[in-house]
Amino acid sequence: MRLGRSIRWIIRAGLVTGIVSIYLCLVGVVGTLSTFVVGRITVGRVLLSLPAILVGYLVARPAVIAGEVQRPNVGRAIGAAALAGLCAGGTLAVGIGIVNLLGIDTVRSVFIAVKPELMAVITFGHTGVVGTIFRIVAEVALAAVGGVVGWAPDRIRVPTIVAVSVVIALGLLRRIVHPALAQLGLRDDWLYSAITLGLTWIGAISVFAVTFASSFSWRANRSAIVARTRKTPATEKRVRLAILVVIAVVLAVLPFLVGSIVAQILGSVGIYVLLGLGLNIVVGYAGLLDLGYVAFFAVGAYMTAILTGASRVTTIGYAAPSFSLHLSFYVTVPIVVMGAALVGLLIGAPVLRLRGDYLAIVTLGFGEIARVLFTSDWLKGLFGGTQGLTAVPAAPIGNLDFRDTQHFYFLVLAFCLIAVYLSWRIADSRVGRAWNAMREDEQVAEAVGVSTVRYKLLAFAMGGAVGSLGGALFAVQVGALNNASFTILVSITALAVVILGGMGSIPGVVVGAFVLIGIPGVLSEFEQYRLLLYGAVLMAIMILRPQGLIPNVRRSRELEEEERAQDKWAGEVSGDELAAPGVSPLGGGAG
Amino acid sequence: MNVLEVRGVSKHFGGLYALNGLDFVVERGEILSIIGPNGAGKSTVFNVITGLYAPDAGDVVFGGQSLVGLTPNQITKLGIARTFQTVHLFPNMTVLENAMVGQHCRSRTTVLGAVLRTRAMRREERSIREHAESALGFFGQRLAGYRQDQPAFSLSYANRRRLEMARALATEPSLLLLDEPTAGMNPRETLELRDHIVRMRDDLGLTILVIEHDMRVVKGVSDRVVACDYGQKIAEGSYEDVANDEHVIEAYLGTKAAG
Repeated sequence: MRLGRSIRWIIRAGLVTGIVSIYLCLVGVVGTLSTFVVGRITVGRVLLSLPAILVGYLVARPAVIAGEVQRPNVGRAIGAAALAGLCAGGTLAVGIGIVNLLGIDTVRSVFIAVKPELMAVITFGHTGVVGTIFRIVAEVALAAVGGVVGWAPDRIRVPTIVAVSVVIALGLLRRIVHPALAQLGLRDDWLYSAITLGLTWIGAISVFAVTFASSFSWRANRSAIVARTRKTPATEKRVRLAILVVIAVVLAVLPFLVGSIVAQILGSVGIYVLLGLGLNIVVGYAGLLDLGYVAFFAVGAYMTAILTGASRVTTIGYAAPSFSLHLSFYVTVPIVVMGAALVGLLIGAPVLRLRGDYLAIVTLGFGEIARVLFTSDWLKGLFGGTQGLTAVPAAPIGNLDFRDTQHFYFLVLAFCLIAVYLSWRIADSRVGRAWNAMREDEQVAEAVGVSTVRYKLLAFAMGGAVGSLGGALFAVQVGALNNASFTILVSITALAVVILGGMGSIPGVVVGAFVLIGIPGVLSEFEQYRLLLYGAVLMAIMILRPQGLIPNVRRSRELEEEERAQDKWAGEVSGDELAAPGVSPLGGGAG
Repeated sequence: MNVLEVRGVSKHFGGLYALNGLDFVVERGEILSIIGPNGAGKSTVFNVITGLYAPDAGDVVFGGQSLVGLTPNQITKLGIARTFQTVHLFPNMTVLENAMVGQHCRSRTTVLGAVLRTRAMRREERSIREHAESALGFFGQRLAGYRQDQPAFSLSYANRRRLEMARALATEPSLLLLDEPTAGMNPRETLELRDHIVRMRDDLGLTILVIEHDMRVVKGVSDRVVACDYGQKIAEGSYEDVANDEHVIEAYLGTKAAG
């Protein structure tokens, strides 16, 4: 075989692709997502085409066998891609055949997404055998295109991928880009069609060309540019300062550029950055898996509401809670932070002896207890039961009340900057080292002189304090609290933010919040598929990049090490004595 | 003067007595070796002294204070440091960071200090680093230079053992417990380490309690030797006395066949 990969592997990949395509159709993303991306191409069509392109791309990539890169010639690569596409098309054809055989209405009684519109998308508007053949040909063609890109040398391949991604992103993000360009006084009727609201073909092609060219030249000159910025420490410092200034300027003008709706989404992203940073202290730094983090979010939100003077929702109207103050938001925040830290100690104390999975289960319970308590009839006089609290006052400074989403963004930004600074300083100190040591080996950390009891409690308290800031801001942002806001989904999302970004990594948390909160918020088309998207993204990350998007150096070492330990174990099991002696840094049994 | 007194300590796991009324004392500035066949309870006594196990009976007294009931980190802070039979480092932290964790119990920066970066905090951080570097420096060039910024797992086996000792030294102990420090080392490294142990006593003024199987090391370093079997002391004295003691020979080689 000179294909680099075996025929069997290619056929299997093709069949899997076909099944993925059918799945996407049945779930409904192909039929219902009818926003136009480029010209008359809808999001659904893009999603239906992606699997075939992807499989062609993967099949044509040079195979690495025993450390040696085996590069197939172009004909074979494209042939292999087309073969995979044929298999995918064949699988889809079987699906189309079943629908045709049983009749659309019969299938639809089970799979409600199967509609004539969907079939029209799949078969290009043709029926019966003709439509099926059209689909198969399309799959083969798409896979072949993917194959060409996959086979192409890096200097072509990477800019192509970048340019295509940018075009698709621009096509989806009209809601952000259009007002931003308008704010800057730029015309965009050449870029976006006024009728379809998607990119025009001219716009798409010019964006592709510009991105491709800039990516291409950046790759060609990257080392020279980097070398120039690193010539002396002074230039390096200047470049870093320039980057910081650019980031600061972008952060400062962002909400005005993108409009108030997107500014609100940015506010939510900021709240999850705070939750992520807090949870990152507990999970990423100290290694304590907390699945009940929503407890701190709720404590922050409800305490803020009570202390600033929110109203209770009752059947006859509004009433004051049985206890409430009318403090300023800025007086409230320190009290809330201390309260949340105290709750952290309370939650931490009973679970000091628990580790890993057991800790996760117990904290999961605590999160649920918190929600039930806040929304219970028992505390209805204080927290308003399931109807909750409403009319949470704003957080004014002078004339600015930060109710407006674009102003609120700056309030969130300020809190996020404080939390980032806190996390960064603590991680790089005696406290951070103690947490690290504890995460790596609790018993040894104790034996070296770290009080694991104290540092576990400290992690819970600090994590709770930072997370409660997110809750406080949430109360101000939405102005009303009820039991729908504090479900387990908050804990899971916060944890997903931390894991996606990379455990223990501060930039990772920021990126994770943008990906998991910002992107679904902006792409409102995907709103009903949000959880599907979360699942898919997390699975992809766990398989392709388990250390997270922007990993913490130390944490990624741990994962590599686990893999090495597994390899060593596998080697020992198969009786292979040559399995790299002494590579595993795992200590072994107790001393 | 006695630094450490182990008084009638018993520890059993289920029906098995790992320690059965063990008695011995460690005098200031000496190197005391504990020898004995496998399962004699040597590592168990280390775990009892350092607070990992609570003894079922008996008492451990260090500098006039009973250690029973204290947590391991409190005992470390009192001045007892240890190494483990199998190397236990923080593998993904750098070599220097490993040693810096050792200074944890001798420093006091809190979250507030770390966030505000007060002058006292920065001074303490410098002092932590200097102490850690000097602890690593005890092993000469072995743990110096670029190696200090490498993750601990990348070290060779012998260097991991050395780093574990350096981390123990960084806690500024007065009593150091070494659990089979030369296990797995080649003859040259063993000799080098023997000199290091002696230097820890002579140059750093430490009292050292060492479990060791290699009799050349025991002979080379010990001021006194305690031999154990079945969790009890069977002999005590100079190396020559203990090595020629008939109980010890019996414990290692078994009884002479009758007749």
